[in-house]
Amino acid sequence: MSDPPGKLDLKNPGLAALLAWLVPGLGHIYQGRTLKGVLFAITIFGLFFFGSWLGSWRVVYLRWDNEEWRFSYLAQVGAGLVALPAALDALDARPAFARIVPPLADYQSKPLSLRELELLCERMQMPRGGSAEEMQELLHVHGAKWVVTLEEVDDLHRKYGVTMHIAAIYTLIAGLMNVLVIYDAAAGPAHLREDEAEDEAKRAKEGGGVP
Amino acid sequence: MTPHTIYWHLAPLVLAVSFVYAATRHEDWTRIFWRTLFWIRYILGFLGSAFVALVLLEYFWEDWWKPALAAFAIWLAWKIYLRQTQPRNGPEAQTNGVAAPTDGKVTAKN
Repeated sequence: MSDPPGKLDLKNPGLAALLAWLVPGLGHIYQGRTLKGVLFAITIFGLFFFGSWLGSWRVVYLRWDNEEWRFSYLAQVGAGLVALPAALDALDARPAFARIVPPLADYQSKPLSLRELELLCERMQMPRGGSAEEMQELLHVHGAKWVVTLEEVDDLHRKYGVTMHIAAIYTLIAGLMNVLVIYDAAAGPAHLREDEAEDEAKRAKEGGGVP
Repeated sequence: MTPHTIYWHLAPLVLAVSFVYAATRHEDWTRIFWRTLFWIRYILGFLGSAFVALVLLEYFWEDWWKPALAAFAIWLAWKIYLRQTQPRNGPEAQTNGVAAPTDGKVTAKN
């Protein structure tokens, strides 16, 4: 990456970008732009967690199969660490995560179809069959607290309707906004104070006002 | 959730988007504040226009040409108003819209 523009010291832009992705605003705090960093953190975390809460904590998850191609996660993951637990399911690391952080066992857990529930029951050497709800209860009793069913998510959609979509949009926008924040941490703002002062002086000289 | 309460969810979204966008474009806080207000107004204006257009379309579904005609009339009136009130001191106004003569001078192109 080229030298930082103007007098703004971006320190290590790559590291700042990585920090900004992991924790929105952290890249700016690392660069000494503390107020901006704190405000970015409040805004992006605010949007992300408000959206998650509005969607009963069932709008951020990763499914990438014929059951559902969850494209929205591509945007949600922009919010960084807070969206990463959803990727644990793709890495088969959910049971380990649930053991380490029991209160967050089902945080962003992938909702399972009936077939997947049966397979899980088989893998855990438990009797399979019955409804999804029954299997989920049985799995919970046997310690698989992270199990969420697709039926459960469908019920939420039936109950709350468009609110679930609005909730998802909040989390999507939080992730997408953080992409701008990452770029700002890596390359600095489009207009620096010095540039703006110069522009204003030029405009004043030409007889124009502030746009 | 009743349909009208959905719109209240727009407020924090518009505010957050406007602020983050403005803050990633500028470093000066006064500039960030004014640009945030600009984007709030811009986004709400755009969404409001789309809302009004859709409401009109629904209301005049059969006679769609009525709002279309009204919109054209408003646009025409606005153009005439602008023409009447525009200051006539620019080089284009002085030459009545015709480009100013170059006195035969040709500037070299890079």
